[in-house]
Amino acid sequence: MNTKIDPSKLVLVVDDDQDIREAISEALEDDGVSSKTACDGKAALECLKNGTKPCVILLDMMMPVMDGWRFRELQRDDPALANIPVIVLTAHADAASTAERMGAAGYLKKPIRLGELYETVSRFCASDTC
Amino acid sequence: MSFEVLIDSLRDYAIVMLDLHGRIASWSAGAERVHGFTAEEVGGADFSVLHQHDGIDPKRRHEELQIAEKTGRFEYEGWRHRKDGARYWANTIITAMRSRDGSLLGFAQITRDLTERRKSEDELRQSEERLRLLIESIHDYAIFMLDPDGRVASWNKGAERINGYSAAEIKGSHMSALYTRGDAQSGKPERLLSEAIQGGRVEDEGWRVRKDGSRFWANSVISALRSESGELRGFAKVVRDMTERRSAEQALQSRIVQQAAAAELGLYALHTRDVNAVMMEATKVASRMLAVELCSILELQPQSATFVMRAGVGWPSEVLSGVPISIDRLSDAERALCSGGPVIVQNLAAESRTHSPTLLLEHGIVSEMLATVVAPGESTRPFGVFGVHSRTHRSFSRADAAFLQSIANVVAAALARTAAEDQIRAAEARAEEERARLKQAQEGLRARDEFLSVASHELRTPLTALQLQLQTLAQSLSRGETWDEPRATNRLSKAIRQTDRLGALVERLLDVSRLGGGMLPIHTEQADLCEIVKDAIEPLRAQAEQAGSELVLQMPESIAGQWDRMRLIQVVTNLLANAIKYGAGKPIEVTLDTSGARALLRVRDHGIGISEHDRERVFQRFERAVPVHNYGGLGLGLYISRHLIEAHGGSIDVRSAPGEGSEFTVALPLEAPVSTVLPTQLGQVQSA
Repeated sequence: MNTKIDPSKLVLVVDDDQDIREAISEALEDDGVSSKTACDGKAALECLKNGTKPCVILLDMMMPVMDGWRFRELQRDDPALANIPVIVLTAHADAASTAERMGAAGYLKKPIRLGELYETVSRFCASDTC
Repeated sequence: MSFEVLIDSLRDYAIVMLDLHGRIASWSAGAERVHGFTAEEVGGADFSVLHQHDGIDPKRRHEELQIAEKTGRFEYEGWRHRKDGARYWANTIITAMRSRDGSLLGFAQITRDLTERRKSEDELRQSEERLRLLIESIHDYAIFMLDPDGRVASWNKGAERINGYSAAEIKGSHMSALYTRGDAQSGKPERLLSEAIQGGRVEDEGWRVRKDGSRFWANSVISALRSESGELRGFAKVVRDMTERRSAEQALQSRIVQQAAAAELGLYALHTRDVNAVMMEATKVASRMLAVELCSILELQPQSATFVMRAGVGWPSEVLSGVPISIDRLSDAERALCSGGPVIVQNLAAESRTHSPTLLLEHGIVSEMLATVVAPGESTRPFGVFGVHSRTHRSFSRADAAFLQSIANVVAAALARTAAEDQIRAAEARAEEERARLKQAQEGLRARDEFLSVASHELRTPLTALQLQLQTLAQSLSRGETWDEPRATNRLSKAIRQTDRLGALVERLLDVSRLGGGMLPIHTEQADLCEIVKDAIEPLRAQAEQAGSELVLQMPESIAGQWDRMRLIQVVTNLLANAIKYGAGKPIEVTLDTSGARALLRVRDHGIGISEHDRERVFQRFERAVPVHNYGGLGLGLYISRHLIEAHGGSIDVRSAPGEGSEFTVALPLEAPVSTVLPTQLGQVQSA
């Protein structure tokens, strides 16, 4: 473990699959990025309202209880949260158009390339921006 | 004016004086004109010279003189010839001339030329004769004379033919002998005569009686005959036998009635879909119109020489009950079928040209008439035979046969229409089936597309995790990082878990494929259902906890039975995973007990619930009750579970309401069936 975790670089990972949440968290951890996880949109909103301020939200679309679309709607409605960028996680081929429609900052296609994950996250988690 | 001048002026009379010997003594001017001789030519000659061309012996002439001498007078009338040979009709009177004392002086011969009179008399006679012959020769009219009292005075051949009496038999009888007893008693003949007297002529139509007592329909005209002075001389009566015309009129009338009935039946057939009703009506119409006791529609049976009575009038129920009737027991049904046209049998008992029509004879049928009912469509084999049968001797006419054929044709048309309608209905049903199949196929395609999309998502989820894990590992290695043992073990075990997940997913897809082929094997063994359920729940505890759902477990010590342990773990896992997925945040109750020879497993959640419409659907392949983007999953869990439970001889049911959660109940027999291979349920699978 050479990498130091920078607590200012925080990513919120929202996915209903525990294994994916863990795999992303661990990969980010290896890159010195800290993360919080939520299993659906509702849990993510609660997390944000409880004071969590991530640089970026990695958002899965298909989730029980509250899906990615609904979460994004509520997030944009809340002025305190609306500016947090969102990266869409999807296995669908039309990831780009989904991201555009949702006003997302970008997308990551499942299966996720580790390099892309790091590159994307680093765009939003530069040391001096958070 | 002298006597001679008078004599000479009588130019139409030949007056010749003969002496005692017959020699011509004087010769008048009239004699010259009548006989053609001058006085100079014949004066003093024997008077036979006047008749030289008559071819009569002169001696006989002298005999005439002798007769005149004896009797005073001789008269003769006949053909005579002039000098030039021309013939004339002569009336000759020879008178003996005597003196006062009676002595013979000579003879006076006066000859008159009556040729003209004779000619008109002849003509009259001839015309009367012609008229008599004419009247006598008339056969179609009875022409006879009645005297003023109404007695027969003359009788022609026609009268003899029409009335049956010869002239000798009837002459002198009163004309009332020719009338019916009723007419005669009511005084009709006398009334007619008095009307003829008053009006000159009377016409009448009615029944008359022949000599043999038979009746005929007569048209008669009686004319009163009067003399020039107006005195009644008698009556002329002309009678015509109208029987044939009357029966022709009646036949025409009945044909009109028959045609109307056939047309009415046709209309009925048009408005009636039930061909049996049309057949019944047809037999009723035929029997009524043709006044027969029995009527039948016989349907020729395929590939056999038997008929079945499809409709009938007058037959006992056992004949109408649909039993096959051998062609031998009918008369000429076969002949009707072969000839195509109607067949008339006047006398059934004599009609044994093919066989003995026992069925018909048993029912006392004497005469019958048969028409062919053609089959609908292209078939050359007829549908059958339409028959009318009479217990009394009948002479069916051509018109009757035509009528029967027209009724048979209405039946054939109704059969053809029914067949066509059946074809249309069958075609519509086929089209409907085709549409349903197409819809099903489209539905299947849609479900499959969705499945593929979901399957790819489901497969990508562990794949995503696995790839990330392997990439971080690879990166660490490339950076020359070293992991301590617990961390490495942790990462690798997580990676292995993804491969397990992938393996399980692939297994489920294989299950579906096996189900499609009807080959999902179960292997039962003695097992404890409580243990099975516990084993299934354990790995899900953490997941339930994470979802905020408390697991409430209620079960007895043990429930022993014959079960496929692994498959039932799969079922319970699926039910519970669903409960966690759709009932997150609320408690989940799992209850296990027995009821009779069955074990009952209930999994109850308090989640989103399932609408009534979706309740059956959730057990089908690739189906889920919620939009796919909200909840992942292959949509195969309940489908596979249902088949696994059914393979155990059990059943699965769901009670649910939207917003109130769902309760799945699995009933499993304690003794599972011996069969270890899932029964093929291709139909249900394909309809999923």
